[in-house]
Amino acid sequence: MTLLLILAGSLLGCAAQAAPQPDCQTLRGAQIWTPDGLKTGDLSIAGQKIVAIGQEKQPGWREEGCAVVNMKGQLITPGFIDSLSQLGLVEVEMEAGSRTGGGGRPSHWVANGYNPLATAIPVTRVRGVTGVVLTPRGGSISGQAAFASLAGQTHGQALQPTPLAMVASMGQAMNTLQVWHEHFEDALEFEKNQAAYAKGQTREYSLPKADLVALLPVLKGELPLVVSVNRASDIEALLRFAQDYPELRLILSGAAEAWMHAPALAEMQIPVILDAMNDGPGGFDSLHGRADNATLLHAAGVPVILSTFSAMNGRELSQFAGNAVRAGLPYEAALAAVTSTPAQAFGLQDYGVLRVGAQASLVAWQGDPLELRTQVSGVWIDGRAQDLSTRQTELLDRYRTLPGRPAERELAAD
Amino acid sequence: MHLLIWSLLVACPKPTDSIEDPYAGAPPPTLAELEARGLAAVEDAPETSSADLVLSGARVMTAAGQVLDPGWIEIEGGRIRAVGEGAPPPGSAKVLELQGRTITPGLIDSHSHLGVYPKPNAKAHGDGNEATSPTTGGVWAEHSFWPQDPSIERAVAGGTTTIQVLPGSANLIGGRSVTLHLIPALGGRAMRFPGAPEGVKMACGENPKRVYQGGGPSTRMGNLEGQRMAFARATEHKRAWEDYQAEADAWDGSGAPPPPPARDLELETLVGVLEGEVLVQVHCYRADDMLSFMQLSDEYGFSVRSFHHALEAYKIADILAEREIAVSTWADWWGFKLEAYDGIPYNAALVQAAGGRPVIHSDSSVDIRRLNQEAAKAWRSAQEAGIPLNEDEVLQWITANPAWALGIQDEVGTIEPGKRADIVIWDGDPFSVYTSAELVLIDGALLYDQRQGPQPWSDFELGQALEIRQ
Repeated sequence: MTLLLILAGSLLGCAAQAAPQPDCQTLRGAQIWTPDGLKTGDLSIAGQKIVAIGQEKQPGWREEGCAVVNMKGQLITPGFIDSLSQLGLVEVEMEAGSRTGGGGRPSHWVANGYNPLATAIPVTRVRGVTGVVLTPRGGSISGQAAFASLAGQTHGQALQPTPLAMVASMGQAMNTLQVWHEHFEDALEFEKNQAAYAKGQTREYSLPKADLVALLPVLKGELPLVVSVNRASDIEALLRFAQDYPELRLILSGAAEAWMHAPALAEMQIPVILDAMNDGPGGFDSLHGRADNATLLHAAGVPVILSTFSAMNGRELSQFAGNAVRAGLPYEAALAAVTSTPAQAFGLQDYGVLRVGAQASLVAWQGDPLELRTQVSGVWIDGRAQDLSTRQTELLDRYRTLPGRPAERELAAD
Repeated sequence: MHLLIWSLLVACPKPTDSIEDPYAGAPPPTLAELEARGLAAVEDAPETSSADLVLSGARVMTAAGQVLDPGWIEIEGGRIRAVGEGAPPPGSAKVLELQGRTITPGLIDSHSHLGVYPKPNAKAHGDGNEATSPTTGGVWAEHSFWPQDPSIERAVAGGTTTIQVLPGSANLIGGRSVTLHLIPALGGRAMRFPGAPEGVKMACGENPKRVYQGGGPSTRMGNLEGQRMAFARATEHKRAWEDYQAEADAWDGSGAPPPPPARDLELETLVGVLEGEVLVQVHCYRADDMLSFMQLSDEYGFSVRSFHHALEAYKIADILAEREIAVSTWADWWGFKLEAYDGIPYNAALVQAAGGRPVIHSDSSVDIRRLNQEAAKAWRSAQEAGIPLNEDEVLQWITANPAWALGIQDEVGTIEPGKRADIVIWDGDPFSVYTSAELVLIDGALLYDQRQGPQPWSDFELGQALEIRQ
């Protein structure tokens, strides 16, 4: 019976949610983190959307018939977004057979590798992360990123249908930028000469057709190019390279030494995705990493995004943001760095913000969301309340009382 | 506060003694005497300058069952002389007023690779695994330790004052660990925690069986065979030395003294284990792997001091508690390999609830800077699971419990009279994400002062930022 329940849990994602969800819910009496500041009142959800916050209501919407959930004393924030995640692309990191996110070509579309049944997904969402930017790995240009909502059994339920960004890695700047230059020039030339290409009347290009086609939206500024780069001089070389492609929209990731180019990044409004825990030399490309990297960039006006860059540890995102605050990042900027700033950088207009009409992916916290000891009391993703069970809570339940252990040693469950 | 008047570290080299053969005319040596020769330091330990003073006005978390709010601590000669609640008794020592702060013992990391896998990542410095044979009990982490690792000072800035540096887990028997007091010195020897017992790193499971494709174990059963055979050899070695010692004791000084058996550094480490003098620190994730290892320890009559990582300790928490085996684990790491798949954030809490001894370790040059945060997360998970704990119990996970795991519990790990004055003064609740260490004392000497900003200890960091500074 237990096994059946576990099986059902992993297949359905919400074992305890057998009853159908009401289509409309009102979360009553919480503090709500809105773009205009903290508001106390009701937040209503209908379908996948937020339809009311306090007095502000979607035209024509009426509350009658909505299920009411008492949320007094809770703080509701937008669901956190972990940018550049491997979640759902691997079940056990060191087991090659469990990996599904290997890329290496511009035409690789990471969504095809996403497994919505990965056990790390519930583990991550119960700590307030409701969405991730899935990132392919491998090669110099790894492939196209996708957005996954951390709920649902199928690609159709979990994934945005279109790519969010092209993902690339700097490696050795001298060689990499030369190769990218060839690829980009080939893509632009290919676009002008497609008829000739089809007849085999063009010179040989540095990439197959599918990859050239995939690069065009990047060169037209329709898709941002996320570049993993740490060393300050590599960042400078990248910015110089980018001047040849005026439509290119860069996003830096890793960026341990980005603080040294804060004014230039601010002027170009290039978002930067950082590891807030990296506060010292990591490798030779990050000898000048420092804890207040995010602080300095934010102060200069750079859009700052925080990420765990992980597959299994996305649940630590709130701790990462808290540490950025400890190092001087204003609290509002830290919360934005895991909600609205990544949403804006990746064109997810309806995520990362609590406003009427936005996607209802949100989290109720029993206190300060960035504080280590704050419990999560509820998670809603695309309008649906999520079960807070995970494979880990199932293991807890099984081993809370050990076989053969005297009954009086059984621990009191809440 | 006028902490700058405290002198920082003062190294006081002593003149070199005259050179003569110290062993001339000595009776046949015991194994312990031979081993002690290898322990003689070339360099002197750095002498630290510790002011006698009283810390007053702060909330004092003792990790010994008490929180004194406010409390006071009298430090004399680098040790804690007295501890009390309220205002300190009138006296002559300088009083440091610390209202609004919280004081804890210096944090202790039972599992670190600082110095043996230093930053920046470099092949030339990757000295943690002697991956030439699955059993290398004769190597010492101390001899790989690079005291210029820039992560060391960052660990101290995070409140960590004592660490156990271990060889990696490639080997069934990886070699000796070393317990270090984080006072900068030019060699690992001088940083040894005075009087700390020796330790040995051993490993179960996936790592040792993965490393030696063809030349070593490739299965878990191969792992156990390798470890059992090593202890079988150690048992023989122990007997040979006991026989020799009996002959030496009976030697009347006439004729040639009995020749000692050949030295074997690996077996000497394991003989130390059999005699209970070398503490056994075992990298092991799965409950069944830990059970197999305990079977091995029963076969040869030694005990395990601590399982490390031990992500499935919660499945056998009662057995580990009964055997008094410490569980050094993380707050929430899991899933990075199959033997870590059943890791749950409730592990430490369940071990505690079973009467065991949990330790939150880092195994990371990054997390060692925030052991307090890691403990706080494990505490949150305990609350989530409905396991009530108080803040002193949680603090013990990163102070008193690791002190026990390293066998230095009489010297550090709590704020009690007689202990070394290893003390962290925090600018808030140590279990808050926003809190930082403000002052860190080791043996009563100031090793870190937040207001002074970065002051590199590491030679490596000198001159890296010249252009940035200009």
